[in-house]
Amino acid sequence: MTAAMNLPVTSDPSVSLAPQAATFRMRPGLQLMPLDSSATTPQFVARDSNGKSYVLSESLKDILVMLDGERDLEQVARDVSRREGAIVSEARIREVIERYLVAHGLVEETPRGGPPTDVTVLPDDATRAGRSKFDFIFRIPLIKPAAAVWLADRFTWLYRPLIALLAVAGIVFSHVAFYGEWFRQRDVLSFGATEYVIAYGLVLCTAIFHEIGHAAACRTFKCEHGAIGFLLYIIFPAFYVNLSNAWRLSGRQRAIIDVGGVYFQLITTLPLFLVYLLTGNAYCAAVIYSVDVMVLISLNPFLKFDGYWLLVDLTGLVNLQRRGLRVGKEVVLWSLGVIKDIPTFKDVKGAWRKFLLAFYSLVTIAFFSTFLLLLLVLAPNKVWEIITGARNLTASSGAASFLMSLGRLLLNVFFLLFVYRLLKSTLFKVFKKRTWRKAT
Amino acid sequence: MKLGTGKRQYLLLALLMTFVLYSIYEALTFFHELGHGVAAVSLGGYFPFVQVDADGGRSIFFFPLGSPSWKEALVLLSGPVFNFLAAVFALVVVAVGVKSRSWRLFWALLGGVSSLMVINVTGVFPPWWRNYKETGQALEMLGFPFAFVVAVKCVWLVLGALLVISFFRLYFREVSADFPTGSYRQRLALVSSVLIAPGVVIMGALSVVMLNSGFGEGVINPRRHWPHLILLLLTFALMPFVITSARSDKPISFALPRKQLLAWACVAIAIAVSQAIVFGNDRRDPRGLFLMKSPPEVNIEACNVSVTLGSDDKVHVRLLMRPFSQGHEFLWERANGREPSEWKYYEQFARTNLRVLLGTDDFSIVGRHADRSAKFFNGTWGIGARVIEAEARMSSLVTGDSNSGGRVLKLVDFWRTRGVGYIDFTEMNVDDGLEIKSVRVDPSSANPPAMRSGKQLQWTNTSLATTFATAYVTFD
Repeated sequence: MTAAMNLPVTSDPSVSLAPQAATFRMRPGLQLMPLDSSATTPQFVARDSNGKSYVLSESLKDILVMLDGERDLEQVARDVSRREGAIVSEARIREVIERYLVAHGLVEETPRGGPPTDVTVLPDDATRAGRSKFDFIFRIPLIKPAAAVWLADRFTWLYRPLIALLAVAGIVFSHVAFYGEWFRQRDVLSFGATEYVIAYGLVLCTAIFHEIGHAAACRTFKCEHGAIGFLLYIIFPAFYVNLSNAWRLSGRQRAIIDVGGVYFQLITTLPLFLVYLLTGNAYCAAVIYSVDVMVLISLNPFLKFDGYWLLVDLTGLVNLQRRGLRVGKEVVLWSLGVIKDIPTFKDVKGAWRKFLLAFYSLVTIAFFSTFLLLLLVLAPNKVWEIITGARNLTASSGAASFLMSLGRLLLNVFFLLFVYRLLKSTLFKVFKKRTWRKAT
Repeated sequence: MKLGTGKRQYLLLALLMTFVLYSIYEALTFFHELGHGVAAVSLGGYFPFVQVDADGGRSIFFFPLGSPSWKEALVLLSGPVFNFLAAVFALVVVAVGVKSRSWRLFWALLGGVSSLMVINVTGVFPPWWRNYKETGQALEMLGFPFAFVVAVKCVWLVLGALLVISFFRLYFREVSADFPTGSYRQRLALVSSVLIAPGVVIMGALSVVMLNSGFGEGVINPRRHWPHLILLLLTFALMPFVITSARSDKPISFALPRKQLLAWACVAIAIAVSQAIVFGNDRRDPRGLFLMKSPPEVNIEACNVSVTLGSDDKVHVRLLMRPFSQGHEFLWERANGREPSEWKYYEQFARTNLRVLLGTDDFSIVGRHADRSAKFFNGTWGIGARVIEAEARMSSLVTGDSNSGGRVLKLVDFWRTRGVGYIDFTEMNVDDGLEIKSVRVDPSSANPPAMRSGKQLQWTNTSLATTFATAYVTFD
């Protein structure tokens, strides 16, 4: 949540006031810390006890801190007015609290005179921020935090500059040699069910090493990290490592953590390439192909994969996707003369960042529109394939044939699930009404 | 240069806009063609030639034999995508804020022209025209149903129209500071100077060049392009409504620096002259940018077949191939003087298609050579081909004919049966001691062959509709 608050200087009669007895306080366990970003005004991260993080503007952070369960809204409005140098109404304060803080569970309503909150704003160097990924479902931790830390510490040497330079050179050379067929001709791969399972197992190992790469980068900057686990992103099965604390690092350090996964996963292709050179093993070739495809997908900045976070951390444009969609709409309305300027640009520092945000936004909209159209065209055919696939499943003879039919069926089911989840997170949102509790 | 009030200033603006629009249009056309080429190369194809002429542009690209058709479709789509991205880029530049007014005008105009190109020159409009230009061809190539193709084109059309409105609104907002825009008439006068007059002059000039260069029609052929004509007229008529921010009702205060006008005139003339010198306007024998030393021979676009039944119980087959289609004859003229850099695509083509042609796997390739003087039919007769020679045992190919008591050889046109084209020329000869008795073709509507003295049959094909799919030749 990025909440840039423009406080009005006059009271808003359309919003009625809540009973005087009610007041708000910051949720226990909530942590606040400054964020290294490109915003024109300072930004802060609020991390709740579940590890979810929210980006707040300075004004909103100030209001949040004032909500100690003791002060009523009138007092808060008075204090904010004094700080802003303009009159801010109590009704506006309530609206902001309900819209941004209550809706995201950062504050709770308490009877007046309740126990004061014990939360304080931590100093810069001692804060711990959260970095959560909201589109993730079905999280299962696989390696406990202590074990993950122990494992990650074993690989931090791969981030020494000289080692990293050699590794990158090795990765580039092995890829050019592999695809250029310098030492060995690449054959067309033809796998059966068993071979697929073995290759898939090897690819999974590289995916876990990808997560260790993020964790090791985190450890290189003396930052704590959490468990390594399994999750579904939209519908994509993936591994994750909890990097909630990474928000406290600088943008450049966070960028190294982002790219660390891809770096480690590509390192796994070095021994695979050597084995392939010596033996021509088809599994090695298959894993190299798979790793490269995974890396390309991972670097895609349109979905919230590593490429997206890399772009966010390198540019400091927090909430890039959400702001991108907003800016896209604003640029179109501005160009058609519906609105006079582009409000989101006011929060962004530097012309090139504005340019990047707007370009990213319009290209993302075009990308998703075309992608969605394509998926919607393919979807009816996939439904039919599921029906015939289910019929084949019952008619299949032998374990291998059954597994292949099952695999195909599951792929089609995943595809439809993907279409649904993508629609849910894009088109459906357009038609969804803003739901926020009105003050009574 | 400060002029007096009145029509002269509108004329001056129209003159400037003619130079600017022509320069921007030609530059965008060139980069649009490069967009195709970059996409082709990045998908593993080859991009040997690019041309910009009076009819627009042309980029020639090739994919190796057996490449999936979606790659070609993506390359076709990359041109419109380039124009769309150029427009988005321009919109973002203007939105972020360019301090200089001249640059703001430039970017707004560039975006507007690029969006107009998306609508008018890439086949998005009219959406109901089947297989029309690159967008239509690409979407059909991807195998989408017609209703979906129309729907996608409509979406792109709306996006393009929104971009056109946005850019010209922004452009006229800047220009309206210097011109009165109070009434529709005043706005129409401004639109005429900025768009209509320059558009008519540029299209007229290009049409004259096209008609003199043997294109057969101008930029707009009213019989064929009536939807485009209606769209253009509507654009011109409705454009004044886009000018929403009438800033001034005062007399004209337009002042154009002499240097600016001269600079744009020089740019436009330089582009026109270099277009004529570098590319020319002859499509059959074009001058242009050859981006590769030798055109790539990675696919087979034209084929002649010569089958000879020998008295030694062998069937000798000569496959004469060319890697370029009839429209790219000029590329063949460059390639004919050289040996191909590799034969693997020719051999792969021969192995795959001889199976279909003869209906057997029992053949062997016995030779290959580049025959620079071989007669080759590809719509018209020309010289030179890549030749692969194969042999098969006659006994494994022919069957007995119970009616005549003779033997029958079945020939299958491998391209015709797949519906992707036809063999341009097929010839069958028999050695001494053998004689051709009769020929039956399937479908029966196909042209019969020219028979010469019972020893030779020849099919010269120029259309899919009159080409045989299968021929049964009875001989004894």
